[in-house]
Amino acid sequence: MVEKRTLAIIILATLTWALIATGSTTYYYLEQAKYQEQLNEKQNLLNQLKENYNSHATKKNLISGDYGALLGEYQWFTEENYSPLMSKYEQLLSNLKGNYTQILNAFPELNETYGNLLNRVQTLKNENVTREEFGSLLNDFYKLFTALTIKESEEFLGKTFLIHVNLCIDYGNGTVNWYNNTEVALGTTLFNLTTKIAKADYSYWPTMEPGHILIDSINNYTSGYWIWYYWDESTNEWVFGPVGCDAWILKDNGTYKWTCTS
Amino acid sequence: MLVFIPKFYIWVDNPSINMQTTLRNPRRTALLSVLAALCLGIQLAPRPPNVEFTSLFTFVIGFVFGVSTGVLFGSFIMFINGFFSPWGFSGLNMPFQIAGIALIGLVGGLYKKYLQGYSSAEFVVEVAVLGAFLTVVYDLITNLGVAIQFTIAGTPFTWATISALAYGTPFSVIHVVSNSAVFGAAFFPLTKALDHAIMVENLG
Repeated sequence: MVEKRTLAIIILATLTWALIATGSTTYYYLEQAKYQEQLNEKQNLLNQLKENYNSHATKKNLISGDYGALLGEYQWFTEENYSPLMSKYEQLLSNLKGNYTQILNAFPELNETYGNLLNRVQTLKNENVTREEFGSLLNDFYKLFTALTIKESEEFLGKTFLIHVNLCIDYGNGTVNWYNNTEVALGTTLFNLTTKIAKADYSYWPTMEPGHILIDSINNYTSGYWIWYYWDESTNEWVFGPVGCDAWILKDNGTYKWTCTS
Repeated sequence: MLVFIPKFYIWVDNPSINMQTTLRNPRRTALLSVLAALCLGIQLAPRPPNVEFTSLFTFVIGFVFGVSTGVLFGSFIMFINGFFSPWGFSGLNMPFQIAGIALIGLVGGLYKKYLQGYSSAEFVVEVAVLGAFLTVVYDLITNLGVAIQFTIAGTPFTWATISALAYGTPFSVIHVVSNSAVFGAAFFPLTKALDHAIMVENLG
């Protein structure tokens, strides 16, 4: 009788152990499979990052070479009228558009800079172009080119890395809306974040640098000027935005604020 | 089949103390109420996940007062727990929790038939093993409830069952270890205390 009882208990204990062991093994296997999948996903992202980087470097080197050649011609040009170089400049601008169409379409502020540059070229095309005017065109081209290359690299890094930020919109009439822990891609500007979260109307100021955008209204609220601030963690206070919102790159866990002041 | 049910009921229930006699005795009812309040107090208090005493109480009540009382006691505690648990509303899992704990009450009642000399410390290991086994069965039943919830949410049943059982295992391990310790350490002292209480008669 005792033996039977002992046997029954041993069977129960074994069954308990078997069930727990099976469950643990399955759990371990599923966790391993999950980690492996995550690892593969990360590896794919890194491979994609490498491919994007190669394409980015090729484009950048190509346009840099063309720009360098035109800059060299400009520096050695001895005539007073620089209009013979305008067709090469136009070609360079066209190449820029061809290589960075996606970025220009994605970022209206850069597209506007490009449009302004193209308009200036069209205006100067049939006129006498001075050295200063052509030099200014070259200078503006280089700034746009640099901005586009930075934006492109941020774009493909943003596909791999995400950051979280907080945005406050203070309408100045007592209504304050917080958008906490918003997930955005690395390299996102405050302007991109604002247009992502709210409906924002803006104006483009070519002479303002860095950043050409001023916000006119957020969610159709126009009773004043929209000014932005960022939260300085070292001093624990809001700091007035020192540049245009389209030139301010967001930091991970950064906190930003739009305030409407009359 | 219907004729068989009363016979089965008589067989599973404690022959000396059945549900009716338990509840007719006001002292026993008072004792059960106190135990239910104590058990609910522990069950609803903030505690580590899957460390609980309800299984032990249900098993002991089943053992001392019979199968029906044990099943009802456990079901009642789990019903209340389903609404007020510190881990949130049980929802669809509640019937599975009730079924699991009722099984523990049932086994508690049946176990009395097989335990000679319930006060003997020789059976500590046996009770601990039984506690661990019942806990595993309880977890299987409740994880099945989770799997059914996953299935309703759109996961195929097989995958839902495998993942519910697998991801429930770490919690199950805590549950089994803690319950085998609780059963092993507290079953005999608790039964003895109830035995000595004046309202429990004819025990053993």
